[in-house]
Amino acid sequence: MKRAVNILKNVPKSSRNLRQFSSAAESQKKTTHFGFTDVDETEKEKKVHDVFANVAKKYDLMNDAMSMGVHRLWKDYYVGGLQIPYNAKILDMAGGTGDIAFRLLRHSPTAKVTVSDINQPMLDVGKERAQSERDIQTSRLEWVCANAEQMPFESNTYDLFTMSFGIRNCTHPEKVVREAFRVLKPGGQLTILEFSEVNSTLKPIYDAYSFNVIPVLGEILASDRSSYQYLVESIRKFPNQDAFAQIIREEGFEHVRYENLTLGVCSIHKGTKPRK
Amino acid sequence: MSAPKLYAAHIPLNPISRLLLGIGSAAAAITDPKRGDMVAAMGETTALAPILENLRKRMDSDVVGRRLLKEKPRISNETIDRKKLAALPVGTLGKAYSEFLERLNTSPDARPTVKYIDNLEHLYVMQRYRETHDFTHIALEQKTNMLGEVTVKYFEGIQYGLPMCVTGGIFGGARLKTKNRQELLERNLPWVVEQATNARLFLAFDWENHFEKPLADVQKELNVVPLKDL
Repeated sequence: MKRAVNILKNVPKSSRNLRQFSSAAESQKKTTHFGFTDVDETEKEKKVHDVFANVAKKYDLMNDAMSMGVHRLWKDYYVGGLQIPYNAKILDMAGGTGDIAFRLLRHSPTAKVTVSDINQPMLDVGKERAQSERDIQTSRLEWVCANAEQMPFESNTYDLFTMSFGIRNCTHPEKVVREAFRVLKPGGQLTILEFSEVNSTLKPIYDAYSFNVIPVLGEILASDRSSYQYLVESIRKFPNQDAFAQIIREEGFEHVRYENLTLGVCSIHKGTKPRK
Repeated sequence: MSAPKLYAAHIPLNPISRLLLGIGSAAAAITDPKRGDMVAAMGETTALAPILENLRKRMDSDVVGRRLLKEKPRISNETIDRKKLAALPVGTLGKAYSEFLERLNTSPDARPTVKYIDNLEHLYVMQRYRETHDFTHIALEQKTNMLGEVTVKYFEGIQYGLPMCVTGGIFGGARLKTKNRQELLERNLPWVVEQATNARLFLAFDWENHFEKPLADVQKELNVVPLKDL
């Protein structure tokens, strides 16, 4: 058995005073990731807000350009695969410009959708689009600016919780899943569409495209390369398919499963709130 | 990702990104010439190292140009005293610059910063080009409408050899409507070609030290004859 003092052999003399260690730990704030940079947790929300406030007007154009229109197919498939009960109350979180909400209304003639987003400019774009889309009954939509980690909605209210390409921007995705659990009725469905880990054979091409093409497209179409640099980095920082499924299970959902789209570029995670 | 950052605003690009940005910014600039950031990006991505090096050498072989390259003075909100310029007598270079900025409701800092140049010496050449473009307008007495911009681009294309100036002149000129296009071809172009070949290298001129001089004297020093005097 080694003598206790030998454990400290490799620690520099200046740090051996334990009192120094504890004060260092106290002054260290909790950091998280904003793309590939580390930021204070309190900062991340503001930085994400700024990204989406900047991109709001060009959001839909950029989505089409970056995915060459494929995001429409992903969203069609995502909504098409939902079983929406009669007179359903649906909460579409991070619903911003309304892509999912409009599809939900078209898919189910009786559903009512609450479109919620932390970013008011995105909601404003959504409201404008709702007016100009002729087959959308705006009376079935309500627009609420709110934080997904702390939703202002009553518990056990919604039949369906949808969130598309939003959860990776939240500082604490597990809190979002927890809140989703709370506001869903027992037996309610959680379904989340998000970028995920791509198949390893596709990874080099996907990375090359992400880092070389997308920020340049952002610069040309939206005069904003840094928001799109953030986008491609944030995709890599989000937990992969299995890790995210585990988070959903840990928050109490049952029958948790996921389905990859386009070789894992994005993934649909589903779960059910237990009936009790 | 690619090369290391050499200066604060530096965004190193790898060849694929550079090519894409070059093509995309050119397309964006032609469809909407008001997008200053795209014109700037196109200028930087097409300013290949040999061209900038050639330009740098020519600046270096001029006495004043060499001093500029060594001291690297900037034309920015910090270095330009707007009040002092506005107080200068009418007809001086400085007063003309002040009126120019007022008329466009702009400032020296309003030009995009150079981001895509991967060499510190060439960075200064490019930055100096961007910061003295306004003076070129003033010395040639060309307005900032499409016709004037195209005329200035031809001048810069001939004097500096930057691809962005050459293509900007050609494609910008193609966008002009009949009347302006006629004026460009019959009047402005023959005049500006002669001026560009006979005048001093504008990029090697220390404009900021001549603000108090009458514009006519500055033009004589540069060996420029204004169009209206012909």
